[in-house]
Amino acid sequence: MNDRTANLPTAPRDADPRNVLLAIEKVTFRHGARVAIEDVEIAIGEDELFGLLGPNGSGKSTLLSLCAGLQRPASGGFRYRGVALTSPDRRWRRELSVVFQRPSLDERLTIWENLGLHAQIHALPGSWRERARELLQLGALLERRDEAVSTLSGGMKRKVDLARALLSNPRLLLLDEPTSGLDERSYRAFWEYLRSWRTATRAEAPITVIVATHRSDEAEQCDRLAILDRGRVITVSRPSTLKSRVAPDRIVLRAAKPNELAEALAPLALPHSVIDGALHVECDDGQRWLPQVVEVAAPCGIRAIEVRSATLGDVFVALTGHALEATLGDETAGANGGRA
Amino acid sequence: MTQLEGVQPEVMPTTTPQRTLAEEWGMLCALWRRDLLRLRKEPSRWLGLVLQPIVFWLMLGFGFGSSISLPGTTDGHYLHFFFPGALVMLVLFTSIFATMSVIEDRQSGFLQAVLCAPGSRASMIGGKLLGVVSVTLIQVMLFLIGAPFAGVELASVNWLSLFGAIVLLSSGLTAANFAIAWRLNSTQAYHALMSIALLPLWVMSGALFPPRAGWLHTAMLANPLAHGTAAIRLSLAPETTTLTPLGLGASFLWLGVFGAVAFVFALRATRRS
Repeated sequence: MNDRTANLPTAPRDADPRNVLLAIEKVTFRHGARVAIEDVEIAIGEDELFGLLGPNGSGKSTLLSLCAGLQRPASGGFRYRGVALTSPDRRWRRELSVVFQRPSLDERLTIWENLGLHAQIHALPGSWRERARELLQLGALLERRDEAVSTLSGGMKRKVDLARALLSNPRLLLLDEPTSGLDERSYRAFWEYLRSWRTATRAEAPITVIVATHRSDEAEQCDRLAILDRGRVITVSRPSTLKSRVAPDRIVLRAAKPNELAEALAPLALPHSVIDGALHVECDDGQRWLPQVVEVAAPCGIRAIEVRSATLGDVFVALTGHALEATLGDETAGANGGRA
Repeated sequence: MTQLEGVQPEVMPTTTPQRTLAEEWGMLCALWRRDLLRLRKEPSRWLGLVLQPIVFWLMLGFGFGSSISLPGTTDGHYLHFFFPGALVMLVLFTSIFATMSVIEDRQSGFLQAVLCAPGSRASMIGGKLLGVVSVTLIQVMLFLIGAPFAGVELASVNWLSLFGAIVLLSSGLTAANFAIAWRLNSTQAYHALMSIALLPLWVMSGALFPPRAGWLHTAMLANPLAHGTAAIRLSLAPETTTLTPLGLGASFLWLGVFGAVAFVFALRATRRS
């Protein structure tokens, strides 16, 4: 446990959901001597889309692999529908599916052969074919079912991998950075695909989703979020609640000397910080403040200026003192603490 | 902790022995079928594994010819002596090549998804073994077309014993290679380790030269490949007992022990992650 994290303020948490599907109870996990997950306590509700938001190395993937039973916690445990899980529990593994960072597909085989293998691995009844057709139809992949996975684009592979995970009709779906490396269009297609399938199957069998991500936009579509930093849960809350804790707008200025820019803006008395070489000015209305900020900052030589709404990345910086996109251990990416 | 106050009355679904059995069988068959599907997709790669021992067999066989004294053989020709050794080479190379995919599968996420499925890790390993053994048997049958040219009298071959020895040797080697591959992160490291560990074992297996007295004999007794070579040699030509360190029964026993130990090692390797 490092001192910086130990000194962080404890952020208030939203109340836990009424219908708890999975309870993570004081889970701690170590990689050798290093604590990767420390005392994590989260309750995830039925039919919830729950996010784990944190930078690389914050423990998101480790927590998911613990949930999936691929590793065992050093202490603490899990409850599913109130029943304590023993690892490895066959009944538990029937209920869950995992989409890993890299697709769990055999690239040399066709889409249909891959789905057939996973149907067999899960001992699904013959009706899996009908379900697979529906899944592929929804993902606009049915016509390509006899093509080798290696011939598909990255976005299509992710959709096939999602179809593979949904084929066994899971009640809990774990997604470990499922859209990393995808372009914007493929990212949207992936989520639209999952959203459509969840909507279509909600009445029959709702699917609870836990997604680990370091993308603000991905986290914002979650019902609730746990913000993770250095293996600890900083807070659990709704994205809207989290965003309400920071100023609604940001004016981001890029200049050769951002610290000089920060000093020049001091008379405006707006909170600001330097993150990744850019000055982030917090304000309640970016459009209203923009002319004044430009007027004061112009003599310092502005290279670029952007007005945008606050993101969960900004919330993360406010809570932890460093950037969401930074890999933990890379301290140069953190804020310099130059708050007004 | 107050989190469980709202837990639904529904509890974990119950399980039945039939369903458990179906999941184990499904896991076993799926991984078995996968290797056969891959064989169909890449026949040239697997054919290469058959051709390599054939080339070795012909080169060394005709190269040495009758220049080496091989007591106990019918005509003393090296082409005849080396045939079982080349067969063991085929089994060895197929096993090495097929288990290399374990490293790729772990990196690509395929095996991670398999580990999250209800079936056990024993069935996962079992499925892989069945897949590799099946591919090996198909290749062995192709290789055996050359048996008459190696002086093998097909009528006197103990076919049951021959295929039993190949199945046991292939299973044991695949399980051992699986255990090694599971612990490694790169195919290069795996290849290097195989070259250092398994190729010398093959050289010392009685494939290239008959057993000698002294430390070489002791080394052979501890070498599972030597018992594989012996069992195959004796199945092809029962009269060649002077060319093997042990008899057929003892060789089978050692192969069985090797396979069981290797399987336990593979199981332990997968349980560690």
